[in-house]
Amino acid sequence: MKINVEGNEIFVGQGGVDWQATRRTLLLQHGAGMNRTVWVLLARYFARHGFNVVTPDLPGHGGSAGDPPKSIEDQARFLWVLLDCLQADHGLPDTPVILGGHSMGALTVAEAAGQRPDSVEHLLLFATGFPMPVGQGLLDAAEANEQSAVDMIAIFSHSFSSQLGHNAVAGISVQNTAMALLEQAGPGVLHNDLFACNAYQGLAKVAESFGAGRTTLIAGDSDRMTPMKMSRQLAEALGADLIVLENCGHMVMSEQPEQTLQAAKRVLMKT
Amino acid sequence: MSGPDFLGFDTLALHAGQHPDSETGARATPIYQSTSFVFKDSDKASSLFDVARAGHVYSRISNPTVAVLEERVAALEGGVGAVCTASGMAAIHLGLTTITGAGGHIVASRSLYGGTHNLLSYTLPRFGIETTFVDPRDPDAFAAAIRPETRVVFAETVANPRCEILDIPRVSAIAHAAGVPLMIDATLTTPYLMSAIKLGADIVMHSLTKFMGGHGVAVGGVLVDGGRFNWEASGRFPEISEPYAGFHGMDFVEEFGPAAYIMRARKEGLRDFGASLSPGNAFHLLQGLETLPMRMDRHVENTHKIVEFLAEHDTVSSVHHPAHPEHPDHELAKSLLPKGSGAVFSFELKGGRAAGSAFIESLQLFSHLANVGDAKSLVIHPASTTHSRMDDQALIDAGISAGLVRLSVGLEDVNDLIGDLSQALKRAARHA
Repeated sequence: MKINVEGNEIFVGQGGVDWQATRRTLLLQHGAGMNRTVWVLLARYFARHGFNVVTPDLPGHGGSAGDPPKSIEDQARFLWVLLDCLQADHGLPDTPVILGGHSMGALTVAEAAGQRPDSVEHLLLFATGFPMPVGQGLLDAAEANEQSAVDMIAIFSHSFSSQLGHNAVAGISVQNTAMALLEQAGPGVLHNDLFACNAYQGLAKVAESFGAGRTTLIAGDSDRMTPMKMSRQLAEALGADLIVLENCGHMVMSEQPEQTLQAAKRVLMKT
Repeated sequence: MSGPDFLGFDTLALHAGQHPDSETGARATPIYQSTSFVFKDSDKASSLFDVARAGHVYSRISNPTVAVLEERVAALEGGVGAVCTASGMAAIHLGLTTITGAGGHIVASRSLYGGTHNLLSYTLPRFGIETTFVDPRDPDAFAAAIRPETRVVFAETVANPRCEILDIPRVSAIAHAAGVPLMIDATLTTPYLMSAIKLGADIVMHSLTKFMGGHGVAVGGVLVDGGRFNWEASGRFPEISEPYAGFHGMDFVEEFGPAAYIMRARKEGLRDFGASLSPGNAFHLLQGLETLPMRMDRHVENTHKIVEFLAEHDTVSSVHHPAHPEHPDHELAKSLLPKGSGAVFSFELKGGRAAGSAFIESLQLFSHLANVGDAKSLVIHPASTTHSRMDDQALIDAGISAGLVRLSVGLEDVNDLIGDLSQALKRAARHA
């Protein structure tokens, strides 16, 4: 669906199933330069297994209009404005939500949890870490809207095994699909997002307000974008459970869809 | 700045889409000769039908062996995904009908493989799909032919048999300006000689039967989605960008983004038309694909020597290969096909049809048959065979004269090939 949020038309995916008042809400937030399509399998699965699934495109991303939020804090504020709007006017129940996010999107939802801890049931973070420094070379290439920025992310985001392929989804190249997605980002969007990741310093405040034991981090063992050291630091800071996926890089949802689903199910079906 | 490197073409040709089998350790891709696949539980079963989990259900729609080939070709072409089909013609049909229907219109090059010409001229009109044919060397003609109901522009990278080269960057820009995708038959160039998607094509198809397989033992086709065309912004493709009642109301753009087209092709076209590739043929084609780079280099090397030989021969009136300096697309070929323009071309004998017949019947190494892209050298007379269903005017428009002979140059010792051509030309000379 497309709804108006703060003057911009915002795209919100539902996993193909309408929301119901009695269901728990699972919001899944995409990462830098991407959009909701990274969640396609998880969104469709959980929408058919008792959840109201919400997969927004941030402003300036995918099917959403507007300028991309400048910081992780701004992205988190936008999520709450969006959720308040969906709960007030679009049939999403006004209950605490499970916030999930990938990479930058994980920082976004963590920050959101810190901003309104009582409105969050659980945090489910995919392929992320803290801090999330971005190399100057990548930032410069992204600022110049150079293809090399997309290329670097496409290579570093996939394990060697995934670069060779053998995707569980027949006939789909996960690496080339990620590239095509990044190339569709508007000028400056990727740089905006990478800059926001690089600049974010708010995790200590999140840990203070959100409290331990309410977060799960799912990470790939071969992630070169947010290496395991940083994932462990983040997990430690938030008192999170860490689930490590085998033979998997940064694009956990597309590289290892079944492992990712099973890890998410362990969290969502028990909480 | 320069970034890290992607895996090279030669590496992808050998490895893309496949890991050693986790159960047995088999290095080669196993042939999963099974119509269907057991569901681990009812949740997996329903999730597969809902496209909520990945996996195989039934080999008409996907198969593990075929999937390796699909992913490998997608990797080689730089596409987001691919669907294999029972033949190259099935790939063209699937590619076109995924985005066209009754009332739709196609703009196509008039220089096409005879089977494609037949599909567009006679068969698709029975289903309400019209085609306007234009000169592939005239990009403005493509622009002029596009109508509000046009759904796709279609052409070959290098046309068969006179080797007109499509200026893909120019034609794709024209198509995109009109909100229409460019679909390309890249059979004669393969992704090794030309990356059509990087040049601007949106959809690429191959007859895998030809150079991609290279051995002439398996018929197959493939459709590749470049993943860059904006289906939603175009506004011409409700099939892709609006809910589809035939698949749970799925909006393919909304769900799959860059892979919307190829997912629709699989979920609708393979399911309903059923022209799927068999796992056995996929296995054979994978074996051929492993050596594509080396074979194409040799095909091109042999071809260039033969073009040179024929161009200087007294009994030959003209040679139609872009490597020849007098070919109209000689300069364009240098730009778009720096590694060579392929190994299928034609030439005309002095003496017309009689000389052509004598020449073909005298050849000993070249096989007279209706195929191209085999490791073995092949020859045919297009006007009486592959293009025989085109009327006289269409033959003239496509530049196919009575004396035209088409060669597909193979991998034999080029001196033996030239020797064979030489002795056959001597016999043909009696009719000149």
